[in-house]
Amino acid sequence: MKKLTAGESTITYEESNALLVFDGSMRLANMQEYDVVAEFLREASELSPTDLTLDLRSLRFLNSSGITTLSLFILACKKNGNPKITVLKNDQISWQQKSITNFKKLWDDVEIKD
Amino acid sequence: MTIDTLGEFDIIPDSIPAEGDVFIRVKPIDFITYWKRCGIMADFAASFYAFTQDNPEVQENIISTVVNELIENATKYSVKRNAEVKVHMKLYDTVLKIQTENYTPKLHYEKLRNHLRKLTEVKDLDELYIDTLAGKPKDPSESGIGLLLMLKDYNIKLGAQFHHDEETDQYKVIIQTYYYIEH
Repeated sequence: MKKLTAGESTITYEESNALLVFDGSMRLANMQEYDVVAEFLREASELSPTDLTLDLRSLRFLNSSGITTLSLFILACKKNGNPKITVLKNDQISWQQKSITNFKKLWDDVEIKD
Repeated sequence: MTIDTLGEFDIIPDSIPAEGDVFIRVKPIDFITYWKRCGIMADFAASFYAFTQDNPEVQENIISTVVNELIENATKYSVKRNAEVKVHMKLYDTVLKIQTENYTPKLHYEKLRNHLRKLTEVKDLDELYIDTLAGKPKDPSESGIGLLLMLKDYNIKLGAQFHHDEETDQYKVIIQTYYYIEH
């Protein structure tokens, strides 16, 4: 299991389940600060090249730089053709209810589950 | 001197009495030094207004998200010396007017003005979102989608006004958002 702490949030990667679990409030200052997150996601996608699940259900906040970082990751996976991305969302958290469906607009193969 | 007004600016003028009126003035360096303070301020504003609404937890998350984006933008693009960021939040029944005000250098003023003009005039926000992200690898320095997401995904109206201060050659940027509280 690998863990990244980014500001007030953590991302845990479980290779055995091809699962990235996000927790906390992710509001880093700019795209440069999100580089470490982008790199963590890229490494996870290399270790789980077939399927990868992003569990966002405990992520209370994600600012626009964070949404951009996740969006660019999804576009990179689309370009590579893999891994297939599944996103777990929590409709009780309004940013997720409102903005996570955008990921499917970027890549129709993205699966979004409640 | 007022240079330009874009979008839906002053659709509720200041002269109309509000039911809630919070005004905060901060030095941008305070946010830049401890970025977490942007979120703390946004969470405060959200708590202040959300608890009286239906579905307070939902409203708190929405208001905090919107206020945080506005404070982050005002701070990032503010001049750094002798500067202030002003945040003014007024509640009118079911509409929360959130106004930020900051001074910015000419280079950023021009970029922001073009960006806001595009946002307030574009027909298809989904298409702009996809095009913006598709072009990001060429310009990864800034996200540039905060206000776009506010317009696209949240029930808000957006306006902006720009003023030029000839003495300092700085540009005052006033951004107004009107969040129509969902029930």
